[in-house]
Amino acid sequence: METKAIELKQPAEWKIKWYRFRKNPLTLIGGFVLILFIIMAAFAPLLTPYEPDSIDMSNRLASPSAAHWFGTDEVGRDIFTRVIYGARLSLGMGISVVVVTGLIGTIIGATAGYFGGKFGQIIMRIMDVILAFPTLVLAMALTAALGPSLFNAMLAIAIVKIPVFVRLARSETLVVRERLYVKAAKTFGLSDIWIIFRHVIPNVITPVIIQITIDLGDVILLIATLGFLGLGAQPPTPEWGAMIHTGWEYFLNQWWYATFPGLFIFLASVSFNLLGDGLRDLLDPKSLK
Amino acid sequence: MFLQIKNLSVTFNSIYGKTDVLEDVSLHVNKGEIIGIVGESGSGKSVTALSILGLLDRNAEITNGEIIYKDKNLLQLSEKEIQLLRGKEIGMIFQEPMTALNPTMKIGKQIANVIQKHQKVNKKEADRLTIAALKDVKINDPEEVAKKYPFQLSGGMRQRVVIALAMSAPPELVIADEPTTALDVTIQAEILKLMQELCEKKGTSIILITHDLGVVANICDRVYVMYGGKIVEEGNTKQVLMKSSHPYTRGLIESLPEGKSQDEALKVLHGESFNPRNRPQGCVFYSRCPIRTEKCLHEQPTIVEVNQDHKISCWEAEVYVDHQELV
Amino acid sequence: MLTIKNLSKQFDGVIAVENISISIKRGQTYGLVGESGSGKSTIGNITIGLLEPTSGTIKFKEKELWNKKGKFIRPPAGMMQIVFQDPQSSLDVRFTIKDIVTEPLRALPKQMQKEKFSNEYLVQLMRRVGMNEDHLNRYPHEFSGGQRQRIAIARAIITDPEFIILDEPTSALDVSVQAQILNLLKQLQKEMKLTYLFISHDMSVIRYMCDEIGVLYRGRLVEEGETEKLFLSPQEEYTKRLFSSLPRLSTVKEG
Repeated sequence: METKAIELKQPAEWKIKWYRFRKNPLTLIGGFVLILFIIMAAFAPLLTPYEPDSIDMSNRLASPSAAHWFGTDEVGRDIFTRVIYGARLSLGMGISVVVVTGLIGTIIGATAGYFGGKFGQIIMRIMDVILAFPTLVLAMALTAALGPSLFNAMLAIAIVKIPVFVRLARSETLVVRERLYVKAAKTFGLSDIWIIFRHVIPNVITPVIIQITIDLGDVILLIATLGFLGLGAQPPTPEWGAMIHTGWEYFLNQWWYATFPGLFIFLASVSFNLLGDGLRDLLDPKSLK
Repeated sequence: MFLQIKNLSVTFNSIYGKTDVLEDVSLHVNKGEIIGIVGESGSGKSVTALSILGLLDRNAEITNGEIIYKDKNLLQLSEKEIQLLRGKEIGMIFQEPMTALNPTMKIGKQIANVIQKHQKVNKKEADRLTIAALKDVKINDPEEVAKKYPFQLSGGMRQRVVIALAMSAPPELVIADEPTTALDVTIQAEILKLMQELCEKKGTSIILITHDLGVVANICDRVYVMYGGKIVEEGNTKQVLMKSSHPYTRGLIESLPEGKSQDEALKVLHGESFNPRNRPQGCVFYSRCPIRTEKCLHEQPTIVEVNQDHKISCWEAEVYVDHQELV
Repeated sequence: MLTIKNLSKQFDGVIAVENISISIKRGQTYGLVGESGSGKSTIGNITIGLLEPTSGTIKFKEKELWNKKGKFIRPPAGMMQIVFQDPQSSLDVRFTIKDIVTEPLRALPKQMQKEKFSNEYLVQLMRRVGMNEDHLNRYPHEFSGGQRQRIAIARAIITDPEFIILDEPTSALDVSVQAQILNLLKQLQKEMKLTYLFISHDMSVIRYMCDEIGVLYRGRLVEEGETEKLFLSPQEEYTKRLFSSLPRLSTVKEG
């Protein structure tokens, strides 16, 4: 008896993925903008000579100039500085909220899908209740009830976003749990926890990661919206939404105040969406061309 | 000659680079005969069928060859002209019957549509012919079945309907790609019998593509054995199966458990199924061949006639020629 | 070794298996043959604990496998294993071959784990199924169907089972590879004194592999007996029809 493994002559997997990634210019643009944002957020103190909260009353509401690229606000703080520090906040908060929510949602969804039955039903009904409300309205209501603060805004966002991940993970799990390797693991007498964490979650995580990327844009927008409505980050925190909130009053005469934070919100959420779509094409075998 | 494929070569373009999936395939079909194309995964048997129908994927490229059907080269026809041939003169039956059926249309209507399109009869006549077509494929209550949707039928029934559909034009050539692989043996036996009857009654030629040598033995007049995108052995069925002269065909037949006693180990073709991405320079069967020589590694074998109506593509053709009969 | 008595299984009122009684002797290969919907895989799945029976009993080495409350009492220490039809889906693509093959060990007592996790043991195991130690750190997608089925077999025998359910183990493979796997299964049976329940729709494979067979039709056992006897003189109408439907090489068409 002898068998030799066939050496498949195929390019490395990353090469194939890169090839498919490259074919989609929008994804590239999204990715590129996000990299810029991340660099900006990471090196914020090096990119600007100002502090985000250093007041300069002699220089209030100055229009964009070489010294203040994006102008200054009503107490003379440099808007460019505040916007890039805002990137730090929005990206940092956005990513941590979505990643944590995504992981918890995946575990809940995978468990609900794997066991099914009454347990699964109850969990899904709870998620349906959350989903029944418009996202923003529910997030606003929750934040208002918990008290306006950045932390509470994030908690509220986590609650309104979790059903997306639970549903996704559950529906993927329903497929995975019928795979023979899951059945095989059951026949060995392995525990359900082992099966869920070693077989189910690793096999449903790809669509979750895609969803996380797509939802990041959404969440950044939500954080900003809550900030704008005065429910999220409170002044003087350099948060984009909160900045627009104040800048709005000056919009007619000092357009730059609200425009630049707004532009960054737009860029960040669009880029995440583009990148998410690209990743879906990349990682999801169903869209393999 | 009714249909003739000459030196057909097909390449797939993909991110893996170019992959040759058919290499210099030549075969022919006479009027009213059933030929078998038999092979395992990666042999190129389905690609051959799809090329005839002009149904290859967009990434496939026909690099060489001709497909002559009634003096026309099918490869030079426009998409429109091919479309006209498909269904009317050339019918097809696939492994999965649902691919050929419209899930939202009643069976009777689907068949009647085809009949009306190709036979230029009025609706009433088409309905009558539909019932007759369903009867032809041994459906006991054709009126009832005609009123049903595809999902209401069992797999065997659906495949019968597909055959009725493929036969309704009526075509002159039917290409059946693993038509019974998804079916149970008892139903397979009925479907094969049916195809054979239709062939005899209406003079239809059939190209049957299968991996099952038993199926070939039962209904094919002639057979082509494919391996790695090439035809390695061809000839009349009896000759090819009983006096197999190519080491692959021989190995394949010897590795079947049929007729072996329980205490004799099966003869084994070593190695794994052919991988087209790993095409050798010489003979495609080299890596698994029990009688290979140095020459086989470097040079592709030529076709040799070992007997009347029996050819193989092998450098060592004489080895098995006078061997005992296999079955 | 295994005794099934009056086993029935219904899915939402639809009968899948009805009143089946079978007994399998130690060291024997018992074949269950039938077409789709005959209930052959259902019986395998109930025996291995994946499906709960509606009624009836299954005893493995004199011990009941399903208790009165419908709970599966797993035989200790990997004594019973299963090999599935489709090696595409039975191996988790995210596991290395080593992780796949050793997975059943994780359900064993700690002390037994140690002994079998040893490298020499694994190397020996891989060689036994016709693979080698270099394959251990690779992933399933690097292997062909036949090799994957060898890996699935390695996974099944790592716990030194006494009884293996083979659920259509070669149906997804090419003919020329099928022979390799059948030979391997026979050889392992001899070396390890295994008892097999061989489930298949392929009569020539069943005939070659099994000592005794049961013919299933729509959930019922229509006929049972020693393989050769049954093939030479089937008594029931269905069995006759089934056997005569098999396309044989020996009935080659005269050209």
